Amino acid sequence: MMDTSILSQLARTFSMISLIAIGGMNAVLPALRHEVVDVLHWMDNEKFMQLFAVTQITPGPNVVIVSLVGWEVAGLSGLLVATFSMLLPACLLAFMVGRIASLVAGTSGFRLAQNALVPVAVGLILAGGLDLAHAAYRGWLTPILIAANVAFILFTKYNPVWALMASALIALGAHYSGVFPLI
Amino acid sequence: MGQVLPGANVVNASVVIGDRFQGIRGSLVSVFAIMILPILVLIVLASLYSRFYEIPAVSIALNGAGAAAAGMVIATGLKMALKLKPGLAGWLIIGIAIGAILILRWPLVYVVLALVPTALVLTVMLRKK
Repeated sequence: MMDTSILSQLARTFSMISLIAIGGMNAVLPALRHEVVDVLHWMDNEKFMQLFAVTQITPGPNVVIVSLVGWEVAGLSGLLVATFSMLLPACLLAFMVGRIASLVAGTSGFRLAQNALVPVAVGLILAGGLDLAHAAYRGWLTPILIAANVAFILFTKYNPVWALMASALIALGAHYSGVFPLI
Repeated sequence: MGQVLPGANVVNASVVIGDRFQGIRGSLVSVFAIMILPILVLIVLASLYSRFYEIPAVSIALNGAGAAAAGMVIATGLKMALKLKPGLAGWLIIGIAIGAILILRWPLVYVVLALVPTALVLTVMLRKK
């Protein structure tokens, strides 16, 4: 049998993160990384970032990083518990808000809440990205790759998967040519 | 609305849209439909990962992809900021969020609990007349 203490830990940690994820999954990535790496010691930063890279290749909602962490620490049951814990609280809230939204949409209070909360989401996502940038650091090549990818997303319309693959190849080339060894 | 509700944006949107068409059953079906294929693909990729990650070249390639992924999150935030064109209140809220998380290192729960009321107050106070 699977270790139930890990499963209940997954459920507790991720359902809590679920309800504070204003701005979506990207906004809670630093909290997720902090819990999984610094508090629970389930993996190190390098492993967490590698898993995150795997979920970026996966099509669909980016909430699957939670599923993959669950899979890594407790197999299939971990994946299911992690995914449900992350989705259920926020989905229930969205369901309720969705039911009342048609009543309040367009009122000044609703617009005010939106005007106030979108910058919160933006701030949390930017902080999340910078936290991951720090966690991804493996020598001087890392900030160069990060800057190149920011520019790629902002200034081109190509599928981000190309940039992911190019970055993987550049990392290989830089490492084995000895230009920028990744530690 | 999906942007400001907590949780996965796409999944939240599918809950609300499913409910509009078929009630609770519609919500359940659309969440299941949106998650099942990604989860199956993820299981395949995760199995490949656990088999090969110890090979140094695979690990190095994934470190490169990890840096790219971090860049993509930053770019997502910048794109949202460019679209939002924040006023003074907006920039203050964004700055406080980044400072509280990256410099003060507050746990996200407290940041969110403190920032949501702060953001509402700032937005009301600095609203253009």
